[in-house]
Amino acid sequence: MRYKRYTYLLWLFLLPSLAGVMLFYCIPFLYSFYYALIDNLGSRNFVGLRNFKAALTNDLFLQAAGNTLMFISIAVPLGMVIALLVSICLQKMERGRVAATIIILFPLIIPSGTIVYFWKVLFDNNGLINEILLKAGVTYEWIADHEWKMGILVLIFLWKNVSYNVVLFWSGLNWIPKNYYELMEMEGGGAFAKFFRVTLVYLSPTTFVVLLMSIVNSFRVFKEVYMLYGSYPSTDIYMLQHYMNNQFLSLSMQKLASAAYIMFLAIGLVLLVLYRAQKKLTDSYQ
Amino acid sequence: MKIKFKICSMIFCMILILLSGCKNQNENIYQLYTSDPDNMLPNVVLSLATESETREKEAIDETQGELTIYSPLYPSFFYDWLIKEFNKRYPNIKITVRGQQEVGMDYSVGAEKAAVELMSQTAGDIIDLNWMPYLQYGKNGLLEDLNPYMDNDPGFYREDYYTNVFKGMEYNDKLYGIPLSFFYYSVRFNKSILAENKIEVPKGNTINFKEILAIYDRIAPGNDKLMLSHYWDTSIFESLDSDSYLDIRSDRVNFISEEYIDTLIKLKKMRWPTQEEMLIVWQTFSLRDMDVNIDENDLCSIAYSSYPDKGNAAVFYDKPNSTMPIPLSATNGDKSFLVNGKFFGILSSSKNKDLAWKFIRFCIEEKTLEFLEEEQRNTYFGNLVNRNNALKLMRAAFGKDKEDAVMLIDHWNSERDSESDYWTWGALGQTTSTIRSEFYAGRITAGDCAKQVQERVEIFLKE
Repeated sequence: MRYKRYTYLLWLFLLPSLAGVMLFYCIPFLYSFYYALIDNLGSRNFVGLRNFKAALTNDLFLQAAGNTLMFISIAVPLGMVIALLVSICLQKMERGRVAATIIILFPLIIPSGTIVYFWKVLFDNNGLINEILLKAGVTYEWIADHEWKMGILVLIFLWKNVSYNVVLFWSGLNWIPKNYYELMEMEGGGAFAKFFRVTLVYLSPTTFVVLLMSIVNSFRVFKEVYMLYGSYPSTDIYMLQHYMNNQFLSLSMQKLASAAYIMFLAIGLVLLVLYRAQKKLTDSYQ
Repeated sequence: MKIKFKICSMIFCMILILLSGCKNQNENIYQLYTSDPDNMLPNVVLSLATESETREKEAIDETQGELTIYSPLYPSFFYDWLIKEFNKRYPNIKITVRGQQEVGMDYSVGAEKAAVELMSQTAGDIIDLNWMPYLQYGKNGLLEDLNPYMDNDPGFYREDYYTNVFKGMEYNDKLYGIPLSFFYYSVRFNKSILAENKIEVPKGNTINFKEILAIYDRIAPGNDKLMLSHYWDTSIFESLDSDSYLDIRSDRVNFISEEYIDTLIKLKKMRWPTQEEMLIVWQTFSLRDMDVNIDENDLCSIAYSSYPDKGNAAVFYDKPNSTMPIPLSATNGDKSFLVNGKFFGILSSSKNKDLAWKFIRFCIEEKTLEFLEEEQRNTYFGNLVNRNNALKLMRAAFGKDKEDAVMLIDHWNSERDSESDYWTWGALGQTTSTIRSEFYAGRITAGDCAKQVQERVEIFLKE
């Protein structure tokens, strides 16, 4: 009986944020499914799954999906590895930890919109990096052939997200009991064994959260990409967000909604697989 | 037969030249122009205005209702005046104007704001489509096809209008917007420069950018101060000829053609005003100046055709230092026109579509001219889409004895066949312009520039 009352109380506290999420996210998202099934906003004729078929057979949509997948496959693991290493270093630091932490958390404090101008100064065609290369004797042609815009996007993502992941990992590291490491030491395990058999294993729930957040945040890097390269970047960095943003501006709601649902299903599927894998891994050590 | 015709025409020309010896120089050139077989005038019916005057005058209409005009981008005093006049005939229709952009707001911000309003389907009944990507809006079902409204309205007479403009704006046989006026570019050449280089004054009812560049190429080697026009930089090419390489209506794109690359290379070699010079020119700029002034080093003046305007009517004629204007067409042969100014469509979400049509019809119909004051005519910049009104204004501008000039311009207006939609490219236009400036700055080759522009435009079309 007491437990039931306690549960009601929990729901009561959750209610304001649940209402907000339902009202501003879930209901509009469910409603947008209707748009994915009609021909356009004017005539609103039911067309079944035709919009989904059109998206999945559209070269540009597939290219955007491929680019987005490539970006996530590079940026997310790289960001996680760097964040984990930084958080381990921070944990091991005996002096200057506070100063280092403040420096690492800087990107979380600075509004990303303002920093885009800094990226522009660096990476624009007339930017600082190209100027330095030209001064060093590199030709325009070489720069044009070797510009790796995807690399720039990954760099921006890392700058923006590593500090957030560091906070999560650091918190996860502090929850691992010290005696686990002592036990491993007693069993003759070295630094590698401690890392792989204690840190990584007991950090796996945190790692899953970091992975989840990184994937979600990887879609948020669009603002910077958009401000750097505009609505129509070259095809090698044309992402799903470009596709959807441009559909929004041309008011092609049916294409926008169907693309959003395809993306939602794809991410949902990936997260489901990751969740199962993480659960299996955790269960196997218990 | 052709040779006979040509000989006859030449004799006819010579007779005209001889006969006109006693007239002034302007008329002389004009006669030469109009009598040239290349410039054969069509049988223009100029009696429309009198015909329409016999129609019954509309009485006050007691229809009741409310209308909302959504004007996403630029604020305008024009609506107040227009609504006041509309309410004299329709006193029971209440009109609200909403959604105007704050002065100084970036175009992309305004366009995003408009997209939100339109998607929520609460924008209103009529939309001012000026600068908006209206073809995409139409394609996505947000705008009504106005053809059925025209066809089903017994008070609307298509023959009063430049129907070629309506036709040229159609997309998949649907007309999503009606402009109050339209215009196109015309070129006047510097006579002294042409004479110094023994180049004949170009003739014809049309000239394209490629032909202008060919004349420039002939003169440039001997004149290192030569400029196309001190009013323009390389962006003139984008404004004038981009539609030759991209036709949104038919999803056709061809920026990687040899012709495009050659033109880019030519443009880069040409002499253009410096940024400082351009700044000075545009700070003191007026459309009239652009029409009238040809600098001694300018090959030509490329200006808008707004002949119903009295000042511009004056430049129609041959001047001591400049030729008569020749309308520009695209290199691919399209006789394109532009729409810039008030330009209305009916939103498909409107609950008052018939009232909305009444308002649009009111804005373009002949009677509007009755209360159109001189200042307000500027809002109808260019040639009025209502042909009767355009003729009336031109007659007023040119004077009674210049009916042949009015006929010629009416002919030019009547043969415009496709809307230049470069100005509706929006964000795509900004992107391609940036790529081209990279080329002009020497950072990429012409081939790379063409490839990159092609790539971006293909993205736009595939979306």
